[in-house]
Amino acid sequence: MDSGRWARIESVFHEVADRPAADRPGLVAAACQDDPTLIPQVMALLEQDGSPHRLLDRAVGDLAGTLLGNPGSHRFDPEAFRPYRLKSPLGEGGMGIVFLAEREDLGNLVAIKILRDAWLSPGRRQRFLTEQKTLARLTHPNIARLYDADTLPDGTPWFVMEYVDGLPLTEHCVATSAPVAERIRLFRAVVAAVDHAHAHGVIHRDLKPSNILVKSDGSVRLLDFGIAKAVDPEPEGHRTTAPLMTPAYAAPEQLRGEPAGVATDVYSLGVILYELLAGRLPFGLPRVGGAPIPTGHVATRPSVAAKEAGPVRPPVSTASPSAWADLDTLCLTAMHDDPDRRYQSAAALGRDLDHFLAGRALEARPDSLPYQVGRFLNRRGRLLLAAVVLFTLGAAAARLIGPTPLAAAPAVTVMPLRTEPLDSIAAHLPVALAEEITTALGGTPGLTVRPVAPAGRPGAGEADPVQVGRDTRATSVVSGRVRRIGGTIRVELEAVDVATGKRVWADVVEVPAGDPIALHTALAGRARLSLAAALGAPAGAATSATRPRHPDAYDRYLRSVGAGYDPGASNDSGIAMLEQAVALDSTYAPAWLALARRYYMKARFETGDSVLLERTLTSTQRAVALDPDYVVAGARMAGSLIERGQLAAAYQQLTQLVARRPDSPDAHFWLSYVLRFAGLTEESNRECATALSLDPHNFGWRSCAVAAMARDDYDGARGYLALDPRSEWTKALGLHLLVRAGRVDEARQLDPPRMPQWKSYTLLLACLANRPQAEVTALAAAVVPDSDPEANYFAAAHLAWCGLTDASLSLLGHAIRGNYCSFPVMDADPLFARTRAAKGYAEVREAGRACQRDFLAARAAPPSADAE
Amino acid sequence: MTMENRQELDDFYSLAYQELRRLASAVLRGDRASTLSPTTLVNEAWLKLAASRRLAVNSQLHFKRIAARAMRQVLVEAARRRQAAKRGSGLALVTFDDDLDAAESTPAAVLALDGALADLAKLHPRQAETVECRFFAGLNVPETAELLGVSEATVQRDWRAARAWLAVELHHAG
Repeated sequence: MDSGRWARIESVFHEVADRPAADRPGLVAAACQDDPTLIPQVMALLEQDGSPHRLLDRAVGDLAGTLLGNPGSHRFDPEAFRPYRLKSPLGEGGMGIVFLAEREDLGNLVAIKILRDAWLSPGRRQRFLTEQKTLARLTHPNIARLYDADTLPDGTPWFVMEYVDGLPLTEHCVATSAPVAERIRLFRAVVAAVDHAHAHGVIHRDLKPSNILVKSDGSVRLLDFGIAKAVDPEPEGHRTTAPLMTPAYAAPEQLRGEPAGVATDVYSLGVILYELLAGRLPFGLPRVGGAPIPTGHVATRPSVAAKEAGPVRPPVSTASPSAWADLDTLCLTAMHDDPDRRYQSAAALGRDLDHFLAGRALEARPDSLPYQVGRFLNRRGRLLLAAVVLFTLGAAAARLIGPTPLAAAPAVTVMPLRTEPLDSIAAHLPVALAEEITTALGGTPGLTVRPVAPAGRPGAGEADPVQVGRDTRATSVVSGRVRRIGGTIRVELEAVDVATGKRVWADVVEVPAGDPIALHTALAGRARLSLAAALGAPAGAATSATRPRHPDAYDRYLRSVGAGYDPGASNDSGIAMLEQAVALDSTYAPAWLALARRYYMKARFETGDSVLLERTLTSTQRAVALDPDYVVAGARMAGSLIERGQLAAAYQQLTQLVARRPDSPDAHFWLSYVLRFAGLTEESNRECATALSLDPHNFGWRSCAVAAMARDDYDGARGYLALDPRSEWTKALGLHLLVRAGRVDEARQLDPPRMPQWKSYTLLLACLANRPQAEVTALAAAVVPDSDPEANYFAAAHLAWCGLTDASLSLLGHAIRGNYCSFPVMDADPLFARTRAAKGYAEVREAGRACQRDFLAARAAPPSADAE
Repeated sequence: MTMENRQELDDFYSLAYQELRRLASAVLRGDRASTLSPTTLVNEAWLKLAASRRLAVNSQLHFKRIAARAMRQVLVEAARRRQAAKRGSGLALVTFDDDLDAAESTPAAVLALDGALADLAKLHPRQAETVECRFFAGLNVPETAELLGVSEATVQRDWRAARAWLAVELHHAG
């Protein structure tokens, strides 16, 4: 069927579908007079339209429930765990299922933990293996032991550990009405286990009574190192732990998203001790759906809380007032909200417990308790709210980018301005003005301006500037507030130094509300002069930046910038506003660039329209012609040219840009990019090195790894990849790198990158795993040409490595036709070793050589020679 | 699209995908009390992503389209795994769950649907997108209309025709 035929069938279908069933055959026949072959197809549609469908009518939640599995619905091959035999499920956590199992030869009981849906996310697999590795490091009578570990044939990891038949610590104490001394003794054993873990470099991070079991013989076992981490600085990836822990037992700094350490475990121990003594949690947090909610209960000292709880649960009478004073001190010292004032180790807490049990004086000294508890509560109350928000939204997304040392070279991030509710005259200003300041600063030599999302970020203005600065690896952050006061727009700005948290600059601009040009003049002027100097820009202001001349045009421009880039209507109205703006005033470069961006969005994400791509280029060229120092526009223009295959034109554009703005890392990076397309590896690497030296922290340079690999510089390549350690792109290139470097054993351990269009990486992994030929062939069939010619080069390399020579040469041809010359890189790329021996190689190689030759000839010629 | 231009999009997609996988598995683990609808999932994932300053192409609508695609990928991948597991093992299986009927036939049906949807995309791309939004992402008619930039009446029409067409295709398939 083609789409024309489908359109006809569909049209008849709609015409007839709501008519009485008896009339339909006649109506269909009449409507299909000229082509009776349509009749059965329409009738089949009508039949299905009227009947329920067991798949298509299912709700997605139900469907996913079936496919992704419900608890316990996992089927396991009973032979797979030998010599263990599964008996019954014991429980299920966030990560895995735990089964009771029996060792067939010895008859003893063990617990087997199996990772559920191992394929679902490599992060979960990693955490599971971390737990296993962690347990393997620990041997302590109070820690459940690891016996064995293995992997199912489908790759699902599992491990065997000690089966602990017992009750959670708090339940045990209630069930046995344990006196205080017994509770302290049990708790002391937990502290010993935690201290052992710390001594072996392991932070538990999720200490709570349900992870501590008491066996019938009264011995204690600490379980569930599922989110434990090593103290030593192993790279931790971007995994966020905040939402995994249990908030009621988490330290305040942990709730704030700061890293867990010895002190956070000590805090959790304090909460557990409190609960053991007082019979409830310190802050009266009922647990609803796994997340605590603040109830407004007032926390008190454990002694008072214990009395309030009445005689039934905590055995208050068994402790004397002086013993209670010590217990209050023990508890509140462990739980101090200032980590520096807690016990500095589990061992120190353990020592004071020993002192208590022996009737000696404690080492810890109480703070002024009322003061401490009150202060504690106020802060804690707020923090708990924050914890609830974290649970609602999941991980603090800011932590996708881990803390990193800051660059010494000045780099600034401009945040969207804060605002009070503004009327329609000014509602677009918070985002638009931040963009304007960014543009103005972007013209400052020697200052790197970090890109910030332009719009659509809810609550963007609420973020902490210092945190934003850390996340974006900036040395300073500009933030501020815009308000309309009567007939005046008032903009208050400040710049904060990220390292010190101190304000380094502040200013206020007030202009009449109806005068956008005055607003621009005032803001851009201050940004270029006093602000740039305060941010540490080495010298001088930008010279040739354009400025808006027409108030209505500029107003439209600002509105379009504030409007975001939603595909569809909002982008169309943005385009309309900007087209009017450039018609009224064709001399303001940022308006042309904004228009180009919107054309590009529309072309790429909506219509695929080549006319729009053409307009993208011409609009960008206008911006560059008006302001040749405008780096963002220059880079974008080069990008458009490369996308059109005009490598030499892009090269000329970029060499001019570099000559004008040698301080701009972006200009150097883009030059490296076009050189890479031309196969000029050494030149490309030089430009990459320059970009990196000018801005050592820009994740955008990551693709320089491609150029580094091309000269077998694997360390260099890894350095570039490390700029963007958490992306799928980096993961893909990391895999490629290992294979290229011949480290196939390591490569085999990796998971495929999750970008669905990168099928060749899945193929590569299948070949690494020596999968059956049929599977490899099927995977290879899914590797189709990409719109990015460089991706085609990589796919060709992967096919080549798998021995699929014809397919490899075909994709290599695609890459070259897309002006990714690939020559002479292909001659030295180890992945192409087998392909180079094939018959068709010489021809493809010649095409690559011609691609490079054309580029070299064009760049040697005067610029006009390359005009379209 | 060259890589540098697509970089933002790739990051965007991979984050969306990762989040949705996590969210989908959380909801579907049987935590019915969470009452999370797919729309809630997508909105929450969006809020998280929106707070991540890495994303320059950040419009909510754009994200939702990507999210719908990601939902489809998660489900189809899950189906593929289930199907492969079923084929790969001729052994007697031990199970702790007797609710397996649905699990038997669904994976194959979902894979067939995914294939049929690819065919539909060639005939009528918008109808295929409509199915992606309505069926795989669980969006309702107004949400789908907003996402695809068409009227609700068009969504209803497209869905009805596409549903019937797919039902015919799936019927033929097996």
